[in-house]
Amino acid sequence: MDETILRVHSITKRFPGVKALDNIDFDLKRGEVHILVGENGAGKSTLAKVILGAYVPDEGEIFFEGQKVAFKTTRDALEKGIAAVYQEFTLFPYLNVAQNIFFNREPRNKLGIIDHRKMERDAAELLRSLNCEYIDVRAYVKKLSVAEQQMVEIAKALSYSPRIMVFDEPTATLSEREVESLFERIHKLKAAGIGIIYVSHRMQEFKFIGDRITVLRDGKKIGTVGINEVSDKEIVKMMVGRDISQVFHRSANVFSGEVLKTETLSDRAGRVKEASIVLNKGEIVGLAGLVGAGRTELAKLIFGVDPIGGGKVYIHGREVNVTSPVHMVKCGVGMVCEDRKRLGLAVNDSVAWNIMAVSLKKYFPRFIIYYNKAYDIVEKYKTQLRIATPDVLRKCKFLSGGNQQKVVLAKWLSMDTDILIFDEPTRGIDVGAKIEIYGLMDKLASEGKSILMISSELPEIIGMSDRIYVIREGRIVGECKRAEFSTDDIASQMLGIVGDAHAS
Amino acid sequence: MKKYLDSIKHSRTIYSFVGLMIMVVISSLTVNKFMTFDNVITIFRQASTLFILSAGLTATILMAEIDLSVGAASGFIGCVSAQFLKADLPVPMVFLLGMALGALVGMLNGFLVGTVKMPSFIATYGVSWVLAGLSVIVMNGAVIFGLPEGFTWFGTGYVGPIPVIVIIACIIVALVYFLLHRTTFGRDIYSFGFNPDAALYSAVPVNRTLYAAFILSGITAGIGGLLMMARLNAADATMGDAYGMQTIAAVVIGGTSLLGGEGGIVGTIIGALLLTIVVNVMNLLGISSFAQPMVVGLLILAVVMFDTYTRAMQEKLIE
Amino acid sequence: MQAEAVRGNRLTGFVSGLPPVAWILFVMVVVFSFASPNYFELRNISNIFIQSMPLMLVAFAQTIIVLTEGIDLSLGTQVSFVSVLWILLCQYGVPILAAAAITVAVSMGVGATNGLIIGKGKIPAFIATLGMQYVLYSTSLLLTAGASISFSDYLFQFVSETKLLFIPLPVWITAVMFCLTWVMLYKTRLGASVFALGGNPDAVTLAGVNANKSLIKIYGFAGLLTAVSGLIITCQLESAQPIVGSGWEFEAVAAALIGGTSFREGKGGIGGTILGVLLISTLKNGLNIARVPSLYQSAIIGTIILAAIIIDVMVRRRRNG
Repeated sequence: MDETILRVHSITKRFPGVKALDNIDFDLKRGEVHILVGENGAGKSTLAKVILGAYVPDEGEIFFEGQKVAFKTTRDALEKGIAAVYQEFTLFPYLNVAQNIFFNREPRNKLGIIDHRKMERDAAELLRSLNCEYIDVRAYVKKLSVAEQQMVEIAKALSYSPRIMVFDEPTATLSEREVESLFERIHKLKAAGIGIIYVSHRMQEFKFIGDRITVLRDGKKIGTVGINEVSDKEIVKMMVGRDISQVFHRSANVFSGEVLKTETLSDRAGRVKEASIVLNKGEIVGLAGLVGAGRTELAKLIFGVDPIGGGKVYIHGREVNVTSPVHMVKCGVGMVCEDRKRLGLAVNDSVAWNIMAVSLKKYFPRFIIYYNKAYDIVEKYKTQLRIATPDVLRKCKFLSGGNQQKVVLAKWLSMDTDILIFDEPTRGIDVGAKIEIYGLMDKLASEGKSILMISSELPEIIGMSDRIYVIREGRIVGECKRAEFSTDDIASQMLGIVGDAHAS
Repeated sequence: MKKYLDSIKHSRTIYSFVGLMIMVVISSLTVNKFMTFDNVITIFRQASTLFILSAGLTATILMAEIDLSVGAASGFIGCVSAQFLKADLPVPMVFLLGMALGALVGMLNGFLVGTVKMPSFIATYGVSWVLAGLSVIVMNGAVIFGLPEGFTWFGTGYVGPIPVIVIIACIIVALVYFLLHRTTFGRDIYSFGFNPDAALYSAVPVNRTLYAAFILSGITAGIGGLLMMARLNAADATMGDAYGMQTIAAVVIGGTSLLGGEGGIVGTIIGALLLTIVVNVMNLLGISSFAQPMVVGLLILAVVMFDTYTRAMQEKLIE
Repeated sequence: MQAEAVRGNRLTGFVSGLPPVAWILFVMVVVFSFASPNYFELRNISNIFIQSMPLMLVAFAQTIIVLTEGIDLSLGTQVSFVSVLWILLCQYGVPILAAAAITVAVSMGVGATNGLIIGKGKIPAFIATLGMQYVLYSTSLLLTAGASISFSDYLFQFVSETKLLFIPLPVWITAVMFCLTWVMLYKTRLGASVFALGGNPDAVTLAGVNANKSLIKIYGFAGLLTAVSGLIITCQLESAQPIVGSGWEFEAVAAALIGGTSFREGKGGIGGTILGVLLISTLKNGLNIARVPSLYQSAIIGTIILAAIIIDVMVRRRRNG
């Protein structure tokens, strides 16, 4: 019997402006955990979605158990036995747990009446097998914690009795205990002969569950290796693609004067707890932490998006009353958002008006817009940042990720704020654009701007920061200066390999 | 300026313009006396109230919100102003009060949508019910005739061959055009319409802009109501009813998207003209006035569907 | 045993889940009852009840649609249209029950068309149904030349005057429709998709449900409810008026919101809607008893509902910090 359950042959998938997957080969054996890694935007989620039928590839073939398949919808894939636990939730808040697990597959009689009792029994059994019997199958999903919802997602995927399961960064929101029971479950699935594709970038997890690992970078496959054949450092190098020193350039700087200071800053939802940070003039400060650790939440507090629960914010030594982004921009704070398409840009609007969105009132304080002047300003930033668009009136959605990000940066550069918060500034863009953005950050700092950079790309945070704060569960748990960075060690430490050292 | 022309080329207004031209050609072929000077003036005179009302509504729809209370508000303000005139208030004062009342209605809508955070189609629908009810109360079931001449001049008078009401409509449309396309406030409206979250993060005063857009549409509703009454030389509780739907029709026919951000005043004017011609032709052909709401409703559905369809096709082509 | 536990949960959950607006209106009803001594007479209460049945059915329809994060602004004109169509068919000599059946089928078709335009056409619900509202409004006016039309048949009196176990027939009919709707919502896949569409529409498609088909069925089901509503009101009035249902869509939305149904996340249900309709009807009745001219009532009720919803949202926001 052929051990290979799934084979993907030279898949290519294009999106407007980028090749998300370029001629990828991939295979999965029975009872194997195959890990997919890569930086943000490397194509790992896209590959998973192609396998799941959520995307139809432009070129290439997929073979499932030796037979060629062409999934058009996720339903097609599910029927073959390929189920997934997605990063974003697919649950319905006001259906109960059992209804969610068996949604659209409810057991029912000839009249179409659902047998709730059977459904709830089956759901309870599934949850028990995940050691989650504490979850009430009759509770609305809305009432569950995020981690509990995640377990319901997993139970839902399992209820399809799949032969292949895809986990797309499933542990981001789980506690340690829940991660353990998830891994235990994955081991059981392996033993039952199910093939597992595990998308992640948490290094410390790989050795626990992985058998083979495939590294993607910029939509290309870098290689597939056995988990015991490589060191973590080699994996990092495969992911980043070059020596870190070539990518990052940070000029030596003298920092003068405190620009931004927060004092025991908390929000109202309990996701940021008494965070105190300092940002000096000309400094790039990294804020490192996992997704959900409170990094973005802290930034939103400082930028005036979310209401402050407690603590103070000082800018240039003066306490400011943080009320709204409008006010904070007046105080000289700018923010480049993590979610570019949702928060950073109006993708249906033109490049020109996106660039002018913040600074319009600065250039035209008397209410009236002069188009020629506006377009001159736009052209200036288009040239300065080398934004590749044939026409500044082109809609942003037709630009590549890198160029879109440059539009966001141009928007803030034109406002010329002293303090800039960069939340995942290089998410989903190619290496070339990344290097340009790093160069820009260095230049801004040299000009005396201060940057607070949030990132889960650890090489990036080490390469660019003068100082790093580490945030975990809403608290600032560590701080270190650049002088204390020895690149390799900190790279390893930041990537979480230190977690192994702690464990052992 | 060239850039600005480009931006029109990028928009959907061009479809509306072609639609208008086709409608004009068909009408002049099928209807006798359509292209006479008198009939053209009549069309503009009939369209002028719609110009004013839909100009204000354009701002709201550009923000991906809707104001369903425009018709009822204009009727209500007309009724109240008629009572003011009956009470011998000076005409300029009546105009001011009418506009202030419109602003108040707009503020109420803004409050419900911006502060209470109700979906705008519910909030403004509710407000329109209340206003329609209030109009009935204000008129006490009666119709007011015979308004002072100093007032009706605005609706029925002429300057040379041009009706006064057309001139006023042009001035107001020009003002709204200037506000939307030439000021930072106008750009804030577009930013909000394209993506309200991104607008918040771009330091656009989102709530203030929302209020302002609803107030603008309230004020134009007020002016529209006053002129409507001046033109009819009468006021009754239901006079604004037909406009609720016609204003929306004018805006969407003009290429402004219900999804926000795309479109503008030029399109709305084309849309309002097109709609008025349709109604004019229906009148000239002697079609029952009961059928008019149906035609308007179907037009809206057809246009919005066409818009959605072409948008989807465009996305597909890009991919 | 388990099922009982569920029901127990639902009841306590239901009461505690009622929005403050329900309590506000409740207080108003109490105030009215003090203002007029004969307010709580049995006859009065039963009057309120019977009169509110047609609106109740429309409110059920609106509730399931609001649960999908949609809205149907054509429901009121659907009721008028049903009424006109039924009488008209009878006038043309179609047997009265056959005419009723045809009318119900047509109304469901109208609803399904709404669903089709919203789902397949990807048109925002409020605009699609507003368009439909105008189409139906015109149709009813054209069919009747704007006047009320009538027909006489014993069935009308039978429906409006028969009592079964002291309870009038319209109430029984509404109760049956309530059960039908309840089973649809809580015991079928279509019902699950109602809550799902409001909660997470993308995930509905991901789970392999044809969301467009679901929308057609849901709006079609709403058409069934409005049809029954239209038939009942026709029996009660023994005639068809082309604008009899105008404004009901708004009162129905209000009833749904008062009953705890929300425009977000597919939260709510038809149980609360009953309460919402009763509160609104009691209020109307109170205005009648207090001799407020009928001319004034629309504005007063609209204002009260809007004010109540505003207070409700404000109270809840303060409570949540």
